[in-house]
Amino acid sequence: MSSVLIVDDAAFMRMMIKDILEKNGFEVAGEAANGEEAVTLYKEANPDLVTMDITMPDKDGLEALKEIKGIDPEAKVIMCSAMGQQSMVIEAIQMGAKDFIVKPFQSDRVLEAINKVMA
Amino acid sequence: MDANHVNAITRAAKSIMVSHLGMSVEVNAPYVTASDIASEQISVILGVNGELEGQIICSMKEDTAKSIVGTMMGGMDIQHLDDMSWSAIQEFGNWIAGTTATELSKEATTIDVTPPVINEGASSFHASSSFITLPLTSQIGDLNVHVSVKKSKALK
Repeated sequence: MSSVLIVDDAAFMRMMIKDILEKNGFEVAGEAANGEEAVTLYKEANPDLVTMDITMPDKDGLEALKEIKGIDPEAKVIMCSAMGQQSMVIEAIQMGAKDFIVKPFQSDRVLEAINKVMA
Repeated sequence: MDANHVNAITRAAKSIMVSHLGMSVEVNAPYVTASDIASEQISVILGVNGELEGQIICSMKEDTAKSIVGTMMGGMDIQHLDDMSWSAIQEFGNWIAGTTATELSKEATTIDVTPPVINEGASSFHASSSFITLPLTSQIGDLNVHVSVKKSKALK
């Protein structure tokens, strides 16, 4: 079973992503509410995949992505962005993010991105 | 205020209600509100900066907020608004603001939006600038979007 680390500052978004993952046979390796927690949890849990929000307090998703790629160049990270953040999404892809999903998203789109990256 | 900017925000609010929440929505004629704005029981306040500066305030009755949260959670019946509900309502504000940013980018206007803040309890907002109110009617109640945006001073 693939394990996923969910990173988003909004409790509601973490709940929604967790729900989609658990209903489709994924294991939730952990939940982080900011980039700092994400990096710590990545080291601890070593998940197969990370869903990473971009805009977060303290350390944002781009900084966390950079650190995680530094720890594990093979890390699979999918960015979750709001609409209107195209420039940050492009930067994330250049930094090694595998794909991105735009909020508000449909569960089909989340699964499509995850299955593609895990394949 | 530029009519194009107001129209972009109207399209964004309507699109979130219709496309993402599946509501049928009617947009009524916008009107200019004086600098005192009546807030319904729940308001989401978002700051706009970048090429435009100002605020977007989405105001609604508590029952409407509960219906929006319930729909966002996949059809749940929300009895009272808890911490998870507040997070959902903030996200609702983010969706409207994010879609507004996309709509404005089509008009070659770039904005950033500050994290949402929620005001709970019927009250009033007082501002030095006037607001335009976009009244949206849906089957789950009214959503009033109060907008005050103007060209950023730094760019004039």
